[in-house]
Amino acid sequence: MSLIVVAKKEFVDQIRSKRFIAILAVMLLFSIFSFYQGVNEFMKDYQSFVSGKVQRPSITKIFRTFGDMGVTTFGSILGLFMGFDLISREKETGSLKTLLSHPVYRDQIINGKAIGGFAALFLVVALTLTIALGTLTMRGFVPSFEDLIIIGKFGAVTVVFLFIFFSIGLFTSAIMKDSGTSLLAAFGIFITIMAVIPIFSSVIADAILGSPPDPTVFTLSGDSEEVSNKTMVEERKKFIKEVEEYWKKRRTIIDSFKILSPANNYVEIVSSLDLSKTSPVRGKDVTKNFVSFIIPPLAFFTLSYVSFLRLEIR
Amino acid sequence: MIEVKNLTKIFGEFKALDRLNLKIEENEVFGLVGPNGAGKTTAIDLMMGMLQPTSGSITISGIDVIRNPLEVKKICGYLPEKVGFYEHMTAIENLLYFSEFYKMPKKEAISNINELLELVGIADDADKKVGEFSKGMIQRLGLAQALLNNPKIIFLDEPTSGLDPKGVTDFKNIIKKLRKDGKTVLFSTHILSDVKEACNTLGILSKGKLLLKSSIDDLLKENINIVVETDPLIDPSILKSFGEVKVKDSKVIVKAEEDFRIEISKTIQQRGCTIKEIHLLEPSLEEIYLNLIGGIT
Repeated sequence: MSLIVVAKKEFVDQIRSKRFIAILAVMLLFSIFSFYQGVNEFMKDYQSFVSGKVQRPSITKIFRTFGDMGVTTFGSILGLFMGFDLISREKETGSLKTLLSHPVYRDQIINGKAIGGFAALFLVVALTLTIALGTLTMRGFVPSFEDLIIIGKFGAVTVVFLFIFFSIGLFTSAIMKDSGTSLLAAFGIFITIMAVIPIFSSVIADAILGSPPDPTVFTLSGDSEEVSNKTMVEERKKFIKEVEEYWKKRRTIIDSFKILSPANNYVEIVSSLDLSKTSPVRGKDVTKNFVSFIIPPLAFFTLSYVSFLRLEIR
Repeated sequence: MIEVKNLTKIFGEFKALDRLNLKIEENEVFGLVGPNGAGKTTAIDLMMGMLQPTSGSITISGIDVIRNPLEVKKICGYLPEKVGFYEHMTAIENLLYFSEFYKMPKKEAISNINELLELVGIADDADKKVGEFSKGMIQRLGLAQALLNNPKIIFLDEPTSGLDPKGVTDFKNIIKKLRKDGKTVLFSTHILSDVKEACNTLGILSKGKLLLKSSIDDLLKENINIVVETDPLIDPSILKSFGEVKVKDSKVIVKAEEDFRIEISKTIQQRGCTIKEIHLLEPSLEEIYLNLIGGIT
C-alpha cells in the first residue's frame, strides 16, 4: 500500500516536472521527424512489395533513426535527468527525514521511486510509439498482429534502455550528498559507458595486437618461374590468413568491450527484431547482448537499494 | 511510556550518545536541554527509529523501537529540527501525502488537515506551494505534520528555532494544549525559558550523557537562595546552620536546601536586629544548566 502511495507520487512528480516536459518535448519532436522519415522509407518498400518486386519490408525500418539516435541520445539523457536527484534532493530539502518519520519502510520508498520512474519512462515510450502508429495509419498502412508484436518488443527494449540511465541517476543520487555532485557522477558514468568504453576498446586492441600485418615482400631466389609462382601463392595465402586472424582477434577484443555499452547492445537487440528474409542480421545470436543489457539496470538499482537502506539520515 | 536503556550511538569515531538511560512517563512534557552537539537530535532520531543504535534498547508504549520502528511511528509524531517538505506541492498536498501512510479515508484526512492547519495558524496558506513559505510557516507546517496521526507521543526537535516571538508563544500554547489533551511530549531545545514555561520535566544532556533529570519545580526548589538585609548588618556566621552563607554588599545570601525564612527571621530577631528585607531568590535554569555542564554562573 505504502509502495503504491510513493510510486503514485513519484510518477506524478516526474510527469509534472519542467525538466521532464522539456526533454520529452525534444524527444517527441525528434520522434515525429524520424518516424515521418522512417514511415516514408517503409511505405516506399511496402509499395514495391505490393507490386511484387521485393520481399515484405520489416516494420523495424520505421524505428531505425529514432532508435539509433533519438533513444540513445535524448532517451539516455532523459533517463539520467529523471533519476539523478531523486534521493539527493530529498536529503537536501529535509523532506526525506520528514517522510521517514511516518510509517513507511525505506525499501518501499526506493522501490516506489523506481516504479514511479519506470511508469514515467513507459509513458514516454508509449507516447512515441503512438506517434509512430499514428503516422503509419495516416499513410494508410494498418499494421498486422506480427507488426504490433515487433513494435511492442521495440517499446519494451526501449523502456529497459531508458531505465538503465534512470538507475544510474538513482544510484548516484543515493550515494552522493548533494544533487550537483550526483549529476556530475551520473554524467561521469554516462560518458564512460557511452564514449570511453567504445574508444578504449580500439586502443586496447591496438595495444594487444599491434598494427595489421604488412603485405609480404616477395624476394625471388632466381629459381624456376614455376617454383616462384608456387611460393608466391603460398605466401599470399599465408598473408591473407594472418590478416583474417588479425581482424578476427581485433573484432573479438572490441566486441568484448562493446558488450559493456548499453547503446551498442540496444542497437543490436533492436536490429535483431528485423525478421525479414533480407535482413543482414537475420539469425544473429544476441543472447550475450541481451544479458549485458539486462545486467546494468539490475546492478545499479541493487546498488541504489543497498546504499539507501544503509544511509544514515541525520 | 518511553524507556531508554544504555543507549549508545557511535558515528565513525564520534560517540554521539554514551549509555543514555532515560524514562519518560505518560503525559509528561520533557524538555531535553543541551549545548550543540550534545546528542539531542541523535537521541530523538534513535527513539523515532530513524537511526540504528550501536547498543542499548528503546521501548515506547511497550514497543521495541529497534525491532518495530513502523509500529512506533504509528503512535508517534516527529517534528525534525530541519523539517523539510516537497516544495512544489502545496501545504495541504504535502499533508495529504503523509496522511496516506496512515490509511486514513481521504475525507477524514482533509478535515483533520484543515483542523491542524487552523491549530498551527496557517489555514489561509493551505493552498500555497511550500516553496513560497517562510521558515516560520514551514516550522508550523512541520508541527501540523507531526500531529497528523493524532499521536500519543510527540517528539519536537528545536521546535521554536527560526520562529518570531508570536510564533514562539503560539508554539508554547500548543504544547500546553497537547499536555492538557494527555499527550506525552519530548521537546529538545537550548532555549531554557521555553523549557521553564512549556515543560514539567527537564533533562540535561552533554557530550552524549544525561547529566540530570528532574522535575522543574524540584530543580528550582533544590537550589534556594534566601536574601536577608538587616539593620545593623548581622554577623553572617550566625546563619551558617541554615546553609552556605555569602555576603554581597549589605545583603547576606543563604544557600539553603529548604525555605528557612521563618527560622532565619526568628534567629535575626533574637539577635536584636531589624529585618529590612527577606526574600527567596530562585536560580535561573541557565545558572543550573551552566553549573552542570561546567560553565560559569
